[in-house]
Amino acid sequence: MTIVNTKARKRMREGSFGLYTGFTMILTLIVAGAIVPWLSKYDPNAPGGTPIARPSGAHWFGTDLLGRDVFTRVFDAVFIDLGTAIIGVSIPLVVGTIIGTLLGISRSKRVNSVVGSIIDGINAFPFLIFVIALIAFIGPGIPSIILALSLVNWARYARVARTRAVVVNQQGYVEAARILGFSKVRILFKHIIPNVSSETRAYALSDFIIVIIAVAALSFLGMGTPPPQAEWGAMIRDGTQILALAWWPTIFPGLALCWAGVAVAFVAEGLQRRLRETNSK
Amino acid sequence: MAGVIPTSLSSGKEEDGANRNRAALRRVFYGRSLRSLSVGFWVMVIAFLMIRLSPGDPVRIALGSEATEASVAEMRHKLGLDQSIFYQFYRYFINIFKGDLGYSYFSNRSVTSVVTTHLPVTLMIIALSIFLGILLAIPIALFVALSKNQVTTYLFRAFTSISLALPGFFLAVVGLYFFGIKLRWAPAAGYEPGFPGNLQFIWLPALVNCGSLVPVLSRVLHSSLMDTLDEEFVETGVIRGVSKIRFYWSYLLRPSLAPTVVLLSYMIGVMIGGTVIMETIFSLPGIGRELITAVDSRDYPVVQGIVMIFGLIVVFFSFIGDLLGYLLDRRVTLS
Amino acid sequence: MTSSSHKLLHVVDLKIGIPHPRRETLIMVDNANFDIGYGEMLGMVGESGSGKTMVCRSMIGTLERRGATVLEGQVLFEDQDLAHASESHWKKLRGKAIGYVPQSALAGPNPVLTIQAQLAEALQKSEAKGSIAEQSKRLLDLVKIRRVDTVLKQYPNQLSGGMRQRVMIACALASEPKLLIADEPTTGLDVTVQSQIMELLKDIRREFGTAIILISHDLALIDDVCDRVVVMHAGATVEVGSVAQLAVPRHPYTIALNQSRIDIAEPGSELVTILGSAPSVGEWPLGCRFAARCIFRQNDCSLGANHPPLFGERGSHQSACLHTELLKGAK
Repeated sequence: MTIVNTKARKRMREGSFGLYTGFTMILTLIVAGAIVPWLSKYDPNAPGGTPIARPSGAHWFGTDLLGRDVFTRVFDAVFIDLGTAIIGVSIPLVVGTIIGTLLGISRSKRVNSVVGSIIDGINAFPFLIFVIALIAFIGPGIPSIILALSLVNWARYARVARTRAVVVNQQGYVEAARILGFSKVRILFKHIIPNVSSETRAYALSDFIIVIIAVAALSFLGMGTPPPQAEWGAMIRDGTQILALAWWPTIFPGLALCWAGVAVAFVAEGLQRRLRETNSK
Repeated sequence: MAGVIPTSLSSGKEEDGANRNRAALRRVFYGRSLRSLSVGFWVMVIAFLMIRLSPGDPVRIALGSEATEASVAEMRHKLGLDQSIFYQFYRYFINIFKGDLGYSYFSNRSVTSVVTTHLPVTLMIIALSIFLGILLAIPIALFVALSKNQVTTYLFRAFTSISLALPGFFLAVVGLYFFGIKLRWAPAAGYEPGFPGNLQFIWLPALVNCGSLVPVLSRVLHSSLMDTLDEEFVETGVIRGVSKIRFYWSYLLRPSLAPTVVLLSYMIGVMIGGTVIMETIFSLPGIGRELITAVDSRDYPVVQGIVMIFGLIVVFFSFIGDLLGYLLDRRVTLS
Repeated sequence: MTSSSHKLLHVVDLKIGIPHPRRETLIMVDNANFDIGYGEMLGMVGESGSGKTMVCRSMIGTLERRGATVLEGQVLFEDQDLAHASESHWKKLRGKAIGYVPQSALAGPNPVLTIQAQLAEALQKSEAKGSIAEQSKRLLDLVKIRRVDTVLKQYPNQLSGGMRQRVMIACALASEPKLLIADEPTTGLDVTVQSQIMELLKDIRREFGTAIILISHDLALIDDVCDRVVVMHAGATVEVGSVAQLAVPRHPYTIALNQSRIDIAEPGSELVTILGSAPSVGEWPLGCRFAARCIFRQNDCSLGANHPPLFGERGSHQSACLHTELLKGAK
């Protein structure tokens, strides 16, 4: 008994270590994002001060070409970057899960083959390319990024959800609920969707890393927030232009982005491992 | 060891085994082709609908707010947008097969010529990325799979998940700073066509692109290698006393390679996305930079054409990857 | 060992374990003892985890792959000690004098090589005359595969389980081995195919005088085809003897195995299952490892640190039971 216990506890600890590290990293970022711009004596967006000043006591991360404090700007960007990514993952998660589930339990062959083909067609496009193209048509900006991400990504969630829904729909408890005469809507929301969404939510976790990076990459390409709003990708873009003169306006927002990506990766891996363990029990 | 059953019994059906193999392969080939063609068709449909369904009037957006009604109407007519949507699609579809992807709004260049001029550079970068990726991923996965040390596996997992979470475009900028500006090992910009002269311009972008490829490939290969190592036939190889090289190739790598090859073909899409950004950062004259320029200037026919070509490339490589996966390992069942 | 050097293989006091850098070595086999003569067919029975497969691995040099190693004892094959052979020594031995047919027919052959390629590998060290192609065909004929030319070009997944196992047997026979080890060769095969494979093994032995070790948990099967039987329990040999001798068992575990046989149970009588389950590796009790499950258990059975040795003269009917006198009359 004791052997089994310590083993299980050890495994738990291994999984939890990454999870707690990741959570702490995200929390630090969010707290800093809330506090730093508020406490800082510098305006994140207004030009002023010495341009391209090296990191010092006054400017911990130095200043950029317009003399703005890079430290304040890096943390001012937290909510724009994380927020866009969260919304950009949530909308396709919900839409894709619902469409995929309905497709999975639908008996109509025609609906399945047409919508299935559209899903396959959308998924065939390289993700970033398709998003960039859509932004070309709907114009740049954060709302456009979110809209483009949703238009592209729902299909990936729908594919995951459909496969899962076909399986769930044949499970005993769904059959039982049907025999008991529960309404279709009730069965759908009480039994099928929760079981399908456990799968799509796991997928959303790893997708979140990709989307955080994609949001910054789109801004880097000049398709995100208009200046002067601080945003990591845009800051890296601006910094690259003076890279030969100064590294700090580029490196610090980049490190913040890496920090966010790695934090989410740790959380995703920890949660997925936990999910696997509870499933295997 | 005299034969118990005379071989003449089967001599009439000499080619039967090969035939059966070929029949199975043909079945897989046709099945996959059909699927790829259908997905390819939908890729064209979606690319077509992109302009038509986008919010706002693309022509008005493209021409700017000062455009007169007359110039808008003229542009609409020029693009055939005043005709029925089905007729428009018919024309678009027929033209694709004629090699006509339309014309740029702002220059007289045909989209086809944009693609044929700039696509080779992009494909070159992708090819080099994949080559480097395979070159790195196979030894890493083999080393970790054969290492009996738990710490190695743990470090491998940690490093791969961290490197997957790092943004490629930032790494490219960092690489540009160190190798381009500080060490001067790589030119910060510029390009020179022709192999191998172009290598000095594309080695760094390709290496950065590997950052997203190597962790994925080596992870999948590592887990298939672990599965293979548990298989009984590996023991058979040991007992038969086959040479080391043959053992590594026929008994470890080849039976494990199929999932990695299939995945690699699916990673083409990710590679394309990464390459577009690399071209922008390193000022390489690939099709990705054309795409970004076209997006900035709202040159819709160019955007549409490039996106469609990329979609078709992905469909094509998935098809090739699936077939290769099947050829490498007949156990693979294609869904 | 000169006294019994007319035998092909001797396994003497074999002890196999998996060493661990920090924890204690995990013992998998302890007290394995048996011999096999030229051209003899030896059956080996025991539950899973009894160490049958480990003992076999020590004869074909694949213990190391699983992290296991021979701790004590000898495996003498024609006066060469296989138990402590170096990797370079194994390179010369493998694929020659001892053939091996793996447990699961479905997973045995390499899925990415054609049958031809696999036979060619097995034939590398063959000294027989004729090209590889000719020899391959002869081997497939030998295992009674028809349409040889078709099969040669096929991949394992295109063959049925029975066919795959025939191919594996053909590969094992390629080097004209003196000893063939078949580790539960009929697992997962249909009953009719099972008996065909057994017939094939019998034919091979009759024709070439190949000694065969047949591992199985099916006593009926072993009774049918083997000359002698080794019974393994929890890593130890508990009884050795001819098939006829084992009809009157001298170890309670063999009695229990006999009683749980379906084929000789009297119609209408209840089937007897063996009490409890075999102690897992690493959790072996002191003294006799069968004591906890034994209905004849005496107070002294669990005394003493070691498992009881095999009593009686080597080569005769031997048993590792301390109280054989209690078993008289039991079947």
